[in-house]
Amino acid sequence: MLMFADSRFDYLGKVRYYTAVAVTPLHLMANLPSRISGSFGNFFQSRNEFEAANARLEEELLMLQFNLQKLAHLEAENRRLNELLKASSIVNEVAVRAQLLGESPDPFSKRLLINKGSNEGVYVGQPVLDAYGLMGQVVEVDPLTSWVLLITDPLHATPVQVNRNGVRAIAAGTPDSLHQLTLENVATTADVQVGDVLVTSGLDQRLPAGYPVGVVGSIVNDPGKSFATVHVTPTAQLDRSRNVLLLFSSPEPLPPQPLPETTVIAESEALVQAPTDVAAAPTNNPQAETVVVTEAANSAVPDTSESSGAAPADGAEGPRYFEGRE
Amino acid sequence: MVEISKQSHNLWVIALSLVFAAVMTIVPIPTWLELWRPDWVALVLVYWVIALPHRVGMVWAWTVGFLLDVLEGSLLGLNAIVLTMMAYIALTLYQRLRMFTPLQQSMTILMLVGTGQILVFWVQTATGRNTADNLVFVLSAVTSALLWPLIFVSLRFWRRSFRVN
Repeated sequence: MLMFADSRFDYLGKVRYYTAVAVTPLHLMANLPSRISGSFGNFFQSRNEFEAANARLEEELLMLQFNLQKLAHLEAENRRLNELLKASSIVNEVAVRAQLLGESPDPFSKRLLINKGSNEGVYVGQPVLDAYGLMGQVVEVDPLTSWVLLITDPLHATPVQVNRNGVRAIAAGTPDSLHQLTLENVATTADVQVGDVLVTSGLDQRLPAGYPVGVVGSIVNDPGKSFATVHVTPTAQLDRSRNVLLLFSSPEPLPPQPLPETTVIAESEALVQAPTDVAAAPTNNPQAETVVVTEAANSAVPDTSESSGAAPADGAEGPRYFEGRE
Repeated sequence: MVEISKQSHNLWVIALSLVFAAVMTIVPIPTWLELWRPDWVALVLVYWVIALPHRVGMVWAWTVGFLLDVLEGSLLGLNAIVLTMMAYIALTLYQRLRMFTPLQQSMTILMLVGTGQILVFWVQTATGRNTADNLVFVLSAVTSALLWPLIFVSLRFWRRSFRVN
């Protein structure tokens, strides 16, 4: 009964939510051995080693800052070009550091426990990264901790695109290995090569676009199968990162979009009304919803400019479109 | 000795051993070892059921299993129902189990934990949370059975030194 209620409905969310606070100390206790050995290691590290590490880190910082110099310029330019194309606007993202508390003891499930929860504003569906790429997304939030489902879990699928040419695919986790993804339903003729970098495509409206997911490791074209077997190695260090980054999106204020003059008044009204309706709807994670609004509004505008003055049947698609998104 | 047993049953020893077992369940270990991780909570629980069937029963099992569910982030009630089932079987068998040789006890533990693992597998598959397509998950029953004599002896020593009854 209880299991059925938990898997099908949300009645027990609160029970789990508060019990999780009570058992958090146990997680800390379970992590004590590795933590103590880590701090002992720090304590007994020699001054020379610290100095060497410091020099290396300073050099790294210099190189990274050098690489950053042109980033601001490129970002601004990219945004201008996107606006010219009326493409979806870029969302600013802020990363917050979280630490790993543990991992799922179930050998068949690849989930991590991190030390930030709803008290810090973590929400279900939030992307989690490390320094090298996408790690997964938050699937369960408790007050002090949350569970992250890794991208290589067989229950997780990530919409990706090839960075080189924009070919889209879905990278699904595998039950066998922690370090392997497979691209699903890739045609044997698709332009995917070994060594291609895959980035998130953002088509799921959940994970932001443009973060590295993995590198294509091998492609097998079996003539007996209709699709190619493509194995991908994730770029994130799924078993080594102790520090992870939680991505918070801080949407920019939407630049005022000039609405095209239309003969159908109801249509333009619907366009103005609908986004505010979506934004006003009570949601758990307003930030994620705002992203949806931004993209929906932007992509809807060119639609109407093409169909301005056309039959009102076209215009009626506007509001229906928004309802679908919501 | 009689005065102590009248005043307190030292039930905290049982609780502490179960908490320790729960921590052992979530201690990070290498991935290849995870399949072999013994079912610590089941072992400790079954010991207490055999030793003190009038104190530790299905209510303890359900409570511990519930906490374990939250701890592991698994389906709420999964470990609770499995441990309750194990406690029920142990309660019906405890008089025989006490007479068994260590080897016979280990074999019983193998069956008990194995049944529990299969039940977990069933429920997880039915709710779409499991993607395993073989039976390697029963390996933990084997380790549990191998560890049972050690658990039995050390917990008996603990029970006697704290006079838990």
